[in-house]
Formats: sequence, C-alpha cells, structure tokens
Amino acid sequence: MKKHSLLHDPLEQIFTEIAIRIQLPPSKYQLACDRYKSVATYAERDGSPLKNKVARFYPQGSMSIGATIAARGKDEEYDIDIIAELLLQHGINPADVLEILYLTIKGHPGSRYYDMVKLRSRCITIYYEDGMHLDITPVILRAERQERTSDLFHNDLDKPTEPAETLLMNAWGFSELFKFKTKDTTTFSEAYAKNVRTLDVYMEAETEEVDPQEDPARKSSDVVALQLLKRFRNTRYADRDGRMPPSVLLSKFVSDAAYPMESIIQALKHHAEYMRRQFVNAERSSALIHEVNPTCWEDCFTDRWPLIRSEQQLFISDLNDLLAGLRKIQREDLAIPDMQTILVTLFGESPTKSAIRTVQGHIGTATQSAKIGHKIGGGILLGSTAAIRVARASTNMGGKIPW
Amino acid sequence: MEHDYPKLKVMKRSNLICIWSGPIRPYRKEYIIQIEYYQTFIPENITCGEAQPRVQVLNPILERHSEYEEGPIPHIYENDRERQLPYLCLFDPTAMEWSTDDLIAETTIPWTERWLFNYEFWLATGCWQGGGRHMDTRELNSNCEKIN
Repeated sequence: MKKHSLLHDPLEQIFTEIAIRIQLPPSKYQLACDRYKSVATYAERDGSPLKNKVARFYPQGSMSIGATIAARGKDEEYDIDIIAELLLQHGINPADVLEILYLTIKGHPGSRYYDMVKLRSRCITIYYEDGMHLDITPVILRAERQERTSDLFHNDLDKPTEPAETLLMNAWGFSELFKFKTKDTTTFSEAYAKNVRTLDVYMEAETEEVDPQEDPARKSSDVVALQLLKRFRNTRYADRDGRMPPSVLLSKFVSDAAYPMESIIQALKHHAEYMRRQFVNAERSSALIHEVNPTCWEDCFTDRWPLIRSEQQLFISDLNDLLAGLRKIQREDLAIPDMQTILVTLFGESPTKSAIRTVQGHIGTATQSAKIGHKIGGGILLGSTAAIRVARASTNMGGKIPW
Repeated sequence: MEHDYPKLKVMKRSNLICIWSGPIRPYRKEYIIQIEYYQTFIPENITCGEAQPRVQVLNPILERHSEYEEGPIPHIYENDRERQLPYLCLFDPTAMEWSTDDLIAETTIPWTERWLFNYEFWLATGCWQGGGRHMDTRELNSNCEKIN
C-alpha cells in the first residue's frame, strides 16, 4: 500500500505536527462534550428558571465542524461554542433572553457555576480552570423556516445606547453544509488521524476502535487548512486591538473552495489564495466583503467585521504574507532553521518548535536505523518508493583525526 | 559514483588519491562537499579509521555552537590546519562499519546526507538526534582495528 505523502515529506510532517498542536485534542473534545451536556442537565434542574424550557443544546461553529483551535493569544485555552435552544415566546426582549440564561446557569451563591459564568452580548461564557471556555448562545427556534433556523439575541451591556436586537441565524445548517462540502474523499484523514492519536496523551487506549463517522481525530485537508488559517489569523491579531476576521467567515470561504487534497501545504495555499481573491475583489469594487449563511441569508457573517476598509486591507496584507511565506518555504534553497523561522512568524513559536523537535526525532530514529532512502542523484526520502536506495546504518563518532 | 551522485565530479585522480567535489542536497539546502580517498597498497598496515574517505563541507561553512548539545559541531574530526573545514565522522571505525571493500557511493555519501540532514535539525533545535557515540579513553589510546 502506498504510504501517504504525510509520511514522505519532512515539511508535510512539520505542518501536520503544527496542525495537531494547535487544535483541540480528541480527549478535550470529549471533555467539552461532557461539559456542555452537564450544563444542559443543570439548566433543567428543579427550581431552574429554564426547567422544561430547554429544547436542546448542540455545538455550533468550530466545535460542530471539528475545527476548534486554541484561543487568540493563548495556546492552552479553547473556546467551545454551544447553542441552547430555548422554549420561550417569540418576540421576547433580547436582554431578557440573555438574562434568563445567565441567571439559570449562575444559580445561587455556592452553586456549581456561580463564580465561573459571565454575561456577554450574545451568549454567556463559563470559564473552567483548565482554560476551556464554554460560550452558550441562547436561541429560539423559528419552526416556519428551514430546519434549525432560530432567533439570536444581541444586547451589549457596554453600549447601553445601542438598541438590543433579534437576529436570524442557522449555525446548524451552515455546519451541515460545511461538513458535506469538505467531506474527505482521499486517504488524508486516515493518515492524519493516526498522527493525532499519537500525540494526544490523554487518550486511554490508542488501539481503541473509533467510529470513523464520529472520530474527532479524522479531518479532511480542508478542515486542517482552516485550522491553520485560523491559527495564522490569531498569531497576526494577538497583539492588535479590536476584532479579527471571524472564524465563521473563514469557514465560509473554505467551504466555498472545498477541494480535498493529500497535502496540507497545498490545501493551505489553495484556501489562502481563494480567500485573498474574495477580499481583493471586494476592494476592487471599493466595497467591504459581504458574506451570508447560504442556509439562512439573513445570517450575516460580516456584520461585525470588517466595518471599515482598512480592516479588510490589513487582512489582505496578512494573507499576502502567508502566501509569500508558503512560496518561500516550498521553493527556495532553505535549511530547516530557515523554515522554522518562517513558520514561527506564521503560526507562533510554541507549536512550531515543538513540531520540529518531534519531526527531528522521527528523522533521527530513521537515520540511525537506516529506515531512510536515498534518491538516485542525491537527496533523502522518507518512506519507500522504487526510486530510492537504502544504505546501511552507521554510528557517528568524532574526536581526534585518526590519520 | 557517477550513476548515483553525478554532480560529484572527480577533481583529482591518481594511483594514490581520488578527490571528488560537488553539491549534494539532502533535503532542500544544497551543500558543497569534498571527499578525499587515499588508496592503500598495504591495507594490513593501516587502520579502518586511517583508510576512511575524508569528507568536508566546503560551503556553507559549518556553524559552531558550543552551547548546543554535541557542540560546537556534532560528530566531526577537528581539522587543526583549517578549523573551518573539519572532517565528518560518519561511522564507528572500531565496529568495522566500513571497509575498503565498500563503495563510497553506497556508504560515505548517503551517510553524509544523513549527517547533514540531522545537522540542519541540530541548528534549529540545539539538540542532536542523529545518534552516535564518542570514543572512550581506552579507544582513544589504542589503535583501531586493522583493516585485515
């Protein structure tokens, strides 16, 4: 069986290891699921303001499409997005919806989440000690519309003069569309999942069978590219004030340009180029990019960013840098330290250096055990193909010249 | 050599010596190396260590980092005459990992590629993962095994 390109090329291996390090590990994915189910159960406890008023909790955003990565500027923290579909009257004041959910989860002094929860403009957030944040967004179903289309509520307490709003959304519809369009039709996800499980130290049994349909470690190249794009965005905006391009917007672009590939680097380049073209096209029309949810046109993905042209232009400049970095790293006569320097600027120091140390370990083991091929004409190749020769192992020594 | 590494050209050849020089590219980065091999007519009189092909990296000059693991440069023979051009130590002479019966294109050059690849990672991380060992005092003070 032909080995996947993830195993052949050290640079693909490095990108794979970076991607694995920035994403929510499968064990934490399970923890997140357990936590939001606990919150759902708690919301329906006896005496709760929402007793018998919760239709369901379900993941939205990155959590629902398997694209969760560490939060902006914080390598060990994850934002988990959950929808709480409530059985409340239509036309209710947005501030009241947010308030009732907040009071339900907060509970009384000394209760489970009392000191952990904060009211935000469209959700409540539960802050766990291990750095995980659960954002729970209350919605009310609009049964007359497409499946799971719902009212979403906005009320910014920091801007009291800004009117509260009820907006339409369909996060579930978009995530289902995204998953359909980015379904892996290659061998990529299988090879990728094996690498993920190797690193996830919290997995109890690496040999445990996981249903491929449910396995959070299996991802298409489109999803991995999306995670790397988000990470790149987070790295760029770590020290900037203000909003950054929303993840749902990046997801929309990846969905529109979905094209399963065997190579992470090619997938990342493909999506960065496509994304850049969309922004550039908007600039050419002297307009701001405008994208909506294909499953709910009122659900605008660009209602909060960009608000001015300079925000859009800044991100175009960022994408130019990303593409230049990818071109340089692939084409030029670069040694590993130079690749590391470029990758640190793109994805941050911690995952990059950790990834390179891991790949170094693989290379070192392979060279010591002679499980490494040499191409006719020169060059090292990992994995086996017909066009390589194998040289036996040797032991590096050194010291005083023996001749 | 001509078949497996055609870019390594013979620079000097006589009954006693052959010198190749040229580029190799273990991964992306190109290195100019030189290999000197001295023919021996009485192999019983020299050691494996003495007979081995002598490999130097001419360009770029190998970086020295004393603060790194295995620094200043991992697994080399220091060249006191030209410190910038040490010789790579690619095998264990005491373990007879190489002999004059071996083809340089099947041993020395692939080992050089491996050494350089591990060297690149060493520059990036400060750690050497290419394995190897150092001679102990007994080995340093005694002769290596003769070839025959």
